[in-house]
Amino acid sequence: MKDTEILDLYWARNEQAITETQYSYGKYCYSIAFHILHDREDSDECVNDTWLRAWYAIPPKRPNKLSLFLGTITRNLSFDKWKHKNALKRGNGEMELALDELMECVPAAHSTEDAVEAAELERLINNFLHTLPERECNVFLRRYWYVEEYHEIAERFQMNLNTVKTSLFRTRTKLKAFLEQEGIAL
Amino acid sequence: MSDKMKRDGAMRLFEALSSADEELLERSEGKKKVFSFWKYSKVMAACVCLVVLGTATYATTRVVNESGSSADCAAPMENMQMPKEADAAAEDDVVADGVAADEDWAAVEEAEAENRMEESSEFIKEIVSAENAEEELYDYSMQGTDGVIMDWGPIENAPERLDEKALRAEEIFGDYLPTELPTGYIFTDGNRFSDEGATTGISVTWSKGLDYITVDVREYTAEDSYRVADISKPETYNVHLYEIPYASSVPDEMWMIFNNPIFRESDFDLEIIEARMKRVEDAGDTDTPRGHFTVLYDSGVLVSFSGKGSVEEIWNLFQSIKAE
Repeated sequence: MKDTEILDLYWARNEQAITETQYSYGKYCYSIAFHILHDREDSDECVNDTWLRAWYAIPPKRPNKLSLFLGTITRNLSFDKWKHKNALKRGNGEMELALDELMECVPAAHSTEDAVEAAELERLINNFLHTLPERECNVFLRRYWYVEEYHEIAERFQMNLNTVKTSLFRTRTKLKAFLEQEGIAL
Repeated sequence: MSDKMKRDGAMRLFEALSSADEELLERSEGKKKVFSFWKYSKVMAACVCLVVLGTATYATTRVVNESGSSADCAAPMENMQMPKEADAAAEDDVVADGVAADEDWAAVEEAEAENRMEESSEFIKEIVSAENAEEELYDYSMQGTDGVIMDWGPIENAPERLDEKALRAEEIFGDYLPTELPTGYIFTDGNRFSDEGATTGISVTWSKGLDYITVDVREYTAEDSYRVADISKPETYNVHLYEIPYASSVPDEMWMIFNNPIFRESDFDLEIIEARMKRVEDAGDTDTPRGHFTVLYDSGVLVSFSGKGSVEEIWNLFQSIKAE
């Protein structure tokens, strides 16, 4: 079923919308959740919560790209769950590694600066992503949006593993420089 | 900045990425590799063509021979206009000759068919290996000074020899080469490692007679994590606790770290260098302390040292790194 037809079901408050969404995007959303959580039950829970969130969000929303709309919900839910599970201890898995890597991008703190607002940070991050060459941006998003492993990214873009690592290293360095230049405090 | 603050910052960045533009996310889907029937069908098409060609040629040749040989036998006989009372033996000879010719020709043709099959097999092999070579990674392996086998991939990613000036000019990695060396050391070798044009690491060696210092610079990856040393456990990195050969004296469970430990920048000091350097009585060589280790900088860069020098000299060498 096409996205427009699924969205029509949501707008008509026809519960068939959830079935069709699950059929079309179940695996996609599960993959996002599992990359972050590495736990089947938790991932299933986040995916089910995604359908519920989508049901209450549409309408009034009518997303242009349903997959990304759902994927974003799943990502946020999964990360919240991950934070909750790892609040007291350092976890394992790809999410932990991805965060370790992103730590390199955090600019040095200045005591006189207030932390940037979330909306402003999102805007700046988007600006930054648009400055990147296409491939570099793609690799960065696969790693830090989808939390894909290096070899998955290498396979997706038919790149050598070392190239993926180098690309990510360079982009993290650029991001840090960008945030420092913008005077951002996290 | 504390680790906790950095971590909180990293989590904020991760959350902020949720609002990445849809067009960028969509673009990052990329193109998944699809089995290309057409790529491999070149081989199959070649096989089919050769088989058909070979069969057709063989079949045609046999038809020609069969019709031609009888005609050849008949024509001379007709043209000879031998008297009816022709010598039967002579006629038999002609027929025998024709049969012999047939047999000879069949043998020749069989030999030629075998040759064609061999040639086509060789040809097919060449096609297959040429196609495989396009996809096959050339296993060009090199062991870096940090003891890790480094797979450089295709031959075009082989290390590039550069001079010291060029290596110091390398973006990011060049800044981690020491600017001060012990007295008497001169540059002797330098390499840049790359992958599809992007620098993945650099390596420089300086020498003074039999003594040498090699510094490798590359990016830390998750695969290095197992070698990060806990300085509260000297048994995992202190060479003075063990006898040479270390492979025999160091417990197996510690070997992976002991072989080339990584020390965090915050842990790295004179005591660590002392723990990794040892004088070795070696006939024909100097007794300058020697050893190797790696330092992980907060920036995520790894700087590996391998060579000889006093603890103070090596400490000064690391202090001269301008990047930090």
